[in-house]
This record gives sequence, C-alpha cells and structure tokens, in this order.
Amino acid sequence: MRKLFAALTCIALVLVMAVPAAFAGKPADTTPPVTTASPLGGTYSGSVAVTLTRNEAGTTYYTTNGTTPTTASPIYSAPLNFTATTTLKYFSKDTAGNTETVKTQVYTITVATTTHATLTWSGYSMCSSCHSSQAQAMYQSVHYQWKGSAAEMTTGPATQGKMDAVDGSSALNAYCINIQGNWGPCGACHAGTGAKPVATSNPTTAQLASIDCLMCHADATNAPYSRVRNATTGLFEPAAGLDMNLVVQKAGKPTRKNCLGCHAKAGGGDAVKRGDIALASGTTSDVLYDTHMAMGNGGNIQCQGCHTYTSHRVAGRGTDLRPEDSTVEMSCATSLCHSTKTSLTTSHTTYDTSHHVGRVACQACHLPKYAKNANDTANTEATETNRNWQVAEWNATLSRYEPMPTKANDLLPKYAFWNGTSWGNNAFNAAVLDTATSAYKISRPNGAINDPVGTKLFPFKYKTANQALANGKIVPISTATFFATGNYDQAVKDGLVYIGLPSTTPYTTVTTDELQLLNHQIPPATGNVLACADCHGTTTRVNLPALGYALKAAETTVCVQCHALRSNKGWSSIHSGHVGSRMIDCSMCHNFSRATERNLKIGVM
Amino acid sequence: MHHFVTRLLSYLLLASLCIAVSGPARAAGPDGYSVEIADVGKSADFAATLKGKGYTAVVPTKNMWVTDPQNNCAVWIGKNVPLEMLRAVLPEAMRFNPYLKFFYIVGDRGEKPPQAVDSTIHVGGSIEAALVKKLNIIDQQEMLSALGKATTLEDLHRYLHEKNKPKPEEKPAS
Repeated sequence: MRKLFAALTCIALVLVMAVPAAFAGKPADTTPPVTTASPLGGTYSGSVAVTLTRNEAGTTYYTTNGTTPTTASPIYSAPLNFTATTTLKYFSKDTAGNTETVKTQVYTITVATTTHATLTWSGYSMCSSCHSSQAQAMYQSVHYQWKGSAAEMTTGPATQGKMDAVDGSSALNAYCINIQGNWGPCGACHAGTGAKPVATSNPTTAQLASIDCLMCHADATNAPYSRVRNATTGLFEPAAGLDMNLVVQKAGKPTRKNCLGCHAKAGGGDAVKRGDIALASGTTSDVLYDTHMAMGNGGNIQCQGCHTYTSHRVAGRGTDLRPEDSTVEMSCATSLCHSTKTSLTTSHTTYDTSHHVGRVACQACHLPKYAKNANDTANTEATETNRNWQVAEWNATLSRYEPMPTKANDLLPKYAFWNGTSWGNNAFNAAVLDTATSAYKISRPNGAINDPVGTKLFPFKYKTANQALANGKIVPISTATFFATGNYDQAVKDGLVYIGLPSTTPYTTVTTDELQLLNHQIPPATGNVLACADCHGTTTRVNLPALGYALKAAETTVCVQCHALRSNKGWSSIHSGHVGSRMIDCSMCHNFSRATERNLKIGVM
Repeated sequence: MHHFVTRLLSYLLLASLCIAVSGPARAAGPDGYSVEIADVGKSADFAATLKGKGYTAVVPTKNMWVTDPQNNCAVWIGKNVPLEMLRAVLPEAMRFNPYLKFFYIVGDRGEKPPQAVDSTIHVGGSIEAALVKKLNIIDQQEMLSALGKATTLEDLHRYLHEKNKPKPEEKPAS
C-alpha cells in the first residue's frame, strides 16, 4: 500500500511538472478572430450579396436590424442578400473563446431608376451593374462554375464537376469522356462570355461581367438572342444585326427554349446525351412525347416549374452529374401538382397500385419508353446509346474526326434502385469493373432494395462507350488529337501522358457504361402507363428477381413457414392474399422488409 | 444510209461536246470535286447557282454546329481542289455569306482527313473549329485578290498557309 502511494505520488509530480512544459511550446490563443465583409458597406443599385469571411475557425454572429449582435444572434452560414438599405453588424468568436469587437457596415440600396423597357444595350456588364446580388449568386452556381458540392457523391472529393483537374474532381463520362483540352467547343454552352470560370468567393466586377445572362434570360420568341465568337479574342459577343436594345428590354425569366439551347444538345447534338429531352421538348405539341412540356393540350410547363430555384441555384441533379446546385429535392407530388399521389393506400385506383409509390418512382411506371420522336418535328430525337472511339467519322462542319455514335429511338429504360446518392469514376480514379454488365463503370445510382425509405426504383438510360484502359485507369484520351487525326492510338497515348503515364504504357480498349436518370417524356397516364404485367411475371422490361424481389428460398421452404405447400396461383393472387388482405410483411417471403413503412406484420400468421 | 450518217454525225457531235465541256463541268463528275454548303442563310440558292455553273453542290443535313452565317463563317478547302474551281466558287460563296472570314486548306495543321475531303470545298465551317485551329481572319477582298494573283494552286496554298500561321496567344480576360 505504501509502495502504491509512492508510485501515485511520483506520477502526480511528473504530471504537474510536465503539463506546463507541454503548454510552454504552444502559447494560449488570446487573439480574437478577424471577420471581413465583402463587399464593404456602400451604395448599391437594386441589391447586394454580402459574404462574411473569418480568418480562423470559429462562429460568426450577425444582425441586420441595427442591434448589437450577441452569441444568441443568427449564425452566419451563407451570403446575405440585401434588397433594401441595411445596417449589418457582426463579430466572430474563435474556438479558444476569443471574441472580436463588433463591426458595422451600412449597405445603402438604391432603387433602380431604369426599367427594362427603356434599356439601351451597353455590353454584358450592364446586367450585373443593376442585378449585382443575382450576378454574385449566379457566379457561384454550378451553371456558371461547372463544379460544385458533391455532397450526393459517395466517391471523389467534396467538390466535383465538369472542369478539368488533376485532383480527382473532374468527371468522366461515356460521351466526350472528359473536358480536358476541349474547353473551346464545350464552352460554347457555358453561360459565360467565353473565358473559363475562375473559382473565387469574391469575384471582381469584370468577372461578374463575364456572365452571359442572356443565354438564359433572353426572350427566345419575341427577341431571340444569338452570339458569335469574336474571331480575334475568342470571346462571345452578340451576333451582328441583332437589335440588342430590344433583346435586353425583353429579357425575363427563362423559358424551355433557353434551357434546351444547351441541355438538349449535351453530348454533341440534339437528344444525344439525355435521351429524354431534345429541342423538340421546347416546341412540340405532341402530348404523347411529353405531356408536361407539350404546348396545345399539354401542360406547357417551363423547366423551372419543376426545377425550382433559389438565388440562381436550381433543384434537380441527374444521377450521372457530380455536383448539385441546390439541396432542394424534386418531387412529382407538390402542393401544385399530383398532391394526392403520395399515399401508400389511396394515391391510385387500387391498393396494389398505390403501395408502389413508396418504393417505385412515378416515372418508372409513367415512362414506358424514351428517346421518342415527337410527331411534329422533322428531325429524329434518337439518342446515343454507344460511342466508339476506335472508329473515326469526319465532321465536315468542324473539319475534324469524331467517334462513331450509335443512336436509337423508342428505348426501354433500365431500372435500378436509387437512394439519392451516386457513384462516379473521375479522371485519375482507378477503374471499377461491373461484373453484372461486364463493363467498367462510369457512373451509377447508389441504392438497393433494402436501403432506407426514400430509395426507389427509377428508370435509366443505359449508355456504353469503347474507351481505353491502362494501369487500371480509364484513359481520358486526348480529344484534340483524335479530332485532328482520327488516330485513336495516338489519342490514347497523349491521354496516357496527361494522367502521368509513359505514352508507351500498354492499354486495352474496354467497354464503359453509365446509367442516367430519366425524368422527362412522360405521356398522359391514360392508355400509356405501364400495366402490372409489364413488370410482374416477366423479365422482358425489368428483372425484378435480380433487383432483390426473388423469394428468399424455395417455395418448399418459404410457404411451409405458415401453411402446407399449395399450388402457386401466381404472383398477383399470392400478393393480394398475403399482403393485400393479411398484411403480411415482405420479409416473410423475400429478403427485404416493408413492415414499418407499410405497417405490415412480421411473423407466422 | 442517210439516216445512219445523220445519226453517226449526231453521236459524234454529242461526243465531241462531252469532251469539250469546260473544267467545272468535268469537276462535277462522280469522281470529281464537289462543294458542301452548310444549311444557313441562302444555302439552297447558293447551291443552285453552283449547279447552274456545272458544279456538284450539296447541302448536308444540319448538325448542332450549323446555326447561322455568322457562326458558320469558315471555308474548308480540300488540298486537291483545282485553282479554277476555287476562283469560281469562293467569290460566289462570299456573295451568299458576307461573314466568311476563315479560309483554310484542310490538312495544313497536320490533319489527315478522309480522301473525299481533299476534293471538297466546305462552305460554312464552324467558327468554333476555326478558333480551335487558331486560324486567322482573312479579309474577303484580300482573299479574292490572292485568288486572282495565284498562278498555281501551290501559290494559293502557300498564301493560305502563311496567313493562317498561329499568332502568339492572347489570353482572354477572365
């Protein structure tokens, strides 16, 4: 006991001596943080977006009503948008507890004295001179940066996108593969005046003026806007002969034509990439093509009718897209549309149909096929299903070679569970073979039958490409080399160098594939929605057993849990009796459960 | 006998006419040269004009890069297209599209196009491609003057090669 006491005393002494020594190396933090407002107070026309930046970790508190902020005041988390004169007071507190002196900025907002009706075009900077906060917001958006939060990606860094980068953030796809070395033609669809976007939280006036607001906001019907590159600078300018005064006077909210000007032509041509949108989506009156967007008897719904937006951040992300512009989730059932279609028991005409809404996305049943042709357009709206880089075709307009595409119409979707997150292979990533498709994965929706509520079965476009693989990585081939020469081998070799491998590295050509979410081209439900037998009792359209709906064991094992083996009267009768009438949970027969979400019973009945 | 002689003379006359046709008409043959015209502006009228002069002219189906005369302002010239054909076609092309400002011999940057491209004039190439190739603007009057001055096809190729030499990079403001 005495020895134990002596030992404890020694330890205590060592600790007493050691602690001050340990702290002596790192003096206590007594410096308060410094918070900077950008822009500083001043006079602004229309509105201003203010960013508060702290020089160290901590929390920033603020008020906008002239009162002195305290730690009970709102915590700063995102740029503040002032549309009226505002006194902003703020301070920060660091993690050591040091508190900054309260700072004050006064933002005087003047009401714009000019209305659009009397505007005179003076160049791209005129938009942001009045709509400064909108320009600030747009500048940070995915539409402008082509990069953004990858919070819904389970692979890659926190920020990902289309822009070329060597940090694993640059997306690959099965179309042009990667943007590297090809900014020019790709940039023709960028909502800027031609220069690559610069990532900065505090863009200059000149940088804001490099946003081309008219790409989205010009009145595509009454005052169409088109632009052409300045042959010397490479930057865009309004096409000659346009009445640009009229164009800016008529500018307003985007219409489908504005959005489709780029989105329909993704991948290198009309309908090429998405499969469910085409230029026809902006002009057609064919409700069978798309009842939501069709004019005439259709809904004539503009894109933002579903893709809601806040501060130039637009809701909705294709499963193959890496960044998300908005965290707002899209839904067919809103207060304005299909509001009754969420009930698991009464949303549809029968219980058997209604309960599907819990785990089957609306479009899975309401989109029987995609890449349809609209009946009032001359062109085909076929979509690309494969791109073969080993075969070069000459594009006379661009005086270059392009890979050979395969296109098709009226395709059956592929079906997969999607929980809202995605898997993606980016440039410099290790390639992953999907044994189910025997192809290397470019992108996939994440999800499985046992994933939490919210995970549903969705329809997808399936797209393949022939791409090079070396050292376990998909090679982002040099499109510049390929376009100029049509020489696939040389293009691969240049791509190898880009990813840091010797050009002599052996490579093979493999099939890559990706799934892309389908949401558009929904026809009227009557006469077009899938019937039960389209999916059940057949694997032609969708292989439900492969998706996890198979019995968990042979009937001789499963059925006899509750009763003697009886003749199988088919899935419809069995489900009607077991689930519809007796409310028996799926897990009694399958490897998944819906007990909680559908109030089903587990156990031998 | 009289009929036979008449017929024979007719055939001979027809044959001699076929042999004596001008260069352009020969160029219009199945193995000859052709003009592709981007479907912008008055492309159909331009094609008709060229056909009237005996050339093969086609207006291919539009693609996403065929938009308007201002964006489709390049002329891609096949390396084997004869000087006389260029002298006939390019002035007409400029008349139908006053925005034409890039004139380029396909292959001058090391491209290896399909053989048919070497015998084709493509009017209405995309400005996007011209910028990617870093071509330089050639004033239409200057181009017409060069066409007139060139004594051989090689002269004209040399002129276009010099005119299209890339200028030092000008970095656009970002």
